[in-house]
Amino acid sequence: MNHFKGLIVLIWSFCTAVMALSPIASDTLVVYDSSVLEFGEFSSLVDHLNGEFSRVDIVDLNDKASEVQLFYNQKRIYQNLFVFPISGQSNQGDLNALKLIEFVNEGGDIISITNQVGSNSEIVAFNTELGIYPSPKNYKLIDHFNGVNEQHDEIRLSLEESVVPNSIVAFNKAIVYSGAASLLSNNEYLIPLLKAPKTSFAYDINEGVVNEQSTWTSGDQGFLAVAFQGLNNARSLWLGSTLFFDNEHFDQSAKDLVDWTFQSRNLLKSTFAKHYLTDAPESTEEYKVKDEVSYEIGLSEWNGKEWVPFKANDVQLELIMLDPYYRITLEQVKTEDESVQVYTSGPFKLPDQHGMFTFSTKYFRPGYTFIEEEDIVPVRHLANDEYPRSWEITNSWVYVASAGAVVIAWIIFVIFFLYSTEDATEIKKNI
Amino acid sequence: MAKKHPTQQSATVNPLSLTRSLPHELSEAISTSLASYQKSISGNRKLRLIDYFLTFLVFLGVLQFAFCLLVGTFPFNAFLGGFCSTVAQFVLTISLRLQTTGTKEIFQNISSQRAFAEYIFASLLLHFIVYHFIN
Repeated sequence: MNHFKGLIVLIWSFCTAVMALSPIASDTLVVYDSSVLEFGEFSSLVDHLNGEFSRVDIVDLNDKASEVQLFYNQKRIYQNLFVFPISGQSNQGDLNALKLIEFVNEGGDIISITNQVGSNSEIVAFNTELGIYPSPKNYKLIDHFNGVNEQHDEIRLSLEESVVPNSIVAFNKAIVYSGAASLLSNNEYLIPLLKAPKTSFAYDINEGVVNEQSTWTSGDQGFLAVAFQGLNNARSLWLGSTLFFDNEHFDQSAKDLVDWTFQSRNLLKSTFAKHYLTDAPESTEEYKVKDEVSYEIGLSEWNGKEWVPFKANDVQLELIMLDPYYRITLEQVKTEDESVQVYTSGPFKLPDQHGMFTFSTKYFRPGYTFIEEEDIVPVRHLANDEYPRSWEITNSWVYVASAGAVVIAWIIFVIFFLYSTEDATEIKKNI
Repeated sequence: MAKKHPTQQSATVNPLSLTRSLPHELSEAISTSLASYQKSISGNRKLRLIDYFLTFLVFLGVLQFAFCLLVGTFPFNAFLGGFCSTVAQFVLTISLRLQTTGTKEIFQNISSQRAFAEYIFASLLLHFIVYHFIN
């Protein structure tokens, strides 16, 4: 019996060691609608998810018995959510805009795809909250210049024109796009990945006539793939087509898209951040004005298997009291630790200003985990016995000497004054 | 008539002689006042002594001020201490001079002994303050 238990523990620990490839526990829920698409086409994606993430649940919304549950006792039970295009009539459960926003606020990651056949209003409402306005049902991207079929709704995208430079994914194979397009708000946390061609437009294919009412986007104001990362580092991805993930097209860029959104790519963390007196690193004394201090921070990046040093040359430290008094670009330090890159500011002098100062490193780069390290410390002014005395300052010797000279001259003057008579002539007369 | 004549004469001479004699008159005034000053101190050792001391203080004050202008105000308290000690000592000594010479009516009822005692007391206080301020 004991042997059996031991075996189970062994197998379980082996499984977790293999499965837990993402540093964040990553239970994944995939939602699709069999009335909208044939899920068998996405088996490569499912294989990839099974390989990368710990537990993958797959729910068909067309199945009346199934139920989508994102929260249990108001706790998020999945880390990742993958929503394929679903129709408006699906049995949705927790799949509504409010719950999805709560899911993201709690740190969950969402990939959602809406297209001309599956554009559920709740999914659209959720994306609208992020500042992505996907085209409604029946709207499709058309391009009469780059279309490769008769309807011109399969469009060959030129990589130079359509791919927006980003740190998330590199599209290096030609894409023949067929699907929806979205408008974007000016939300600064959106990261556009793919742009619609200049000669394209998205319009209602049922309308049959292109006019103001039936057109959603025109030219390159339309976007085909948009990522989003919130200040809580939760990630979302909106796509206008399922073609990135079907078995025929499933490649490295599709894997990158999934891995980025589900937190196993471009994932950074700070291992430590500290500041100290340059001369006495162990000292716990409060800082004084003009003290010489140093600052260090360690950054790591997840490479898919383990934490490795994150190397960059644009990490900055700010020393702030209302305004930044210093903005120092940190330099890399060579260390023996192979999991972290240490950056240092080098020694610098605190300003001649006392108060509550913040040592702040904000490394916000689109597509990377936002790193925010802040420490607020008091910087005190000099105590009255910590200023240099006058005799230690050579300039003041002149003044001290002349004050002394005044005193000595005064004493001499007083002595002479006392012992001199008022009128010399009178004395002569008296003698 | 006798009075009118000289005025007429001066009216004809004045425009030229006035412009010519302005520096001359100035130097004359200076030499006159110098002479009267010499006369006033010549018989009085105490006055001479006071004036030597005053000259010394002015010299020292100017020296410090020039040093401050050249080198900078860094130990500003030291500059203030050193400079103010000369200025204040100058003021106190001038007071002593006015009170002991005894020409002014308002000082008639102050004896020179009392004036000197007050001067000693005020000077000691001044040096005490300067000593503490300069550090």
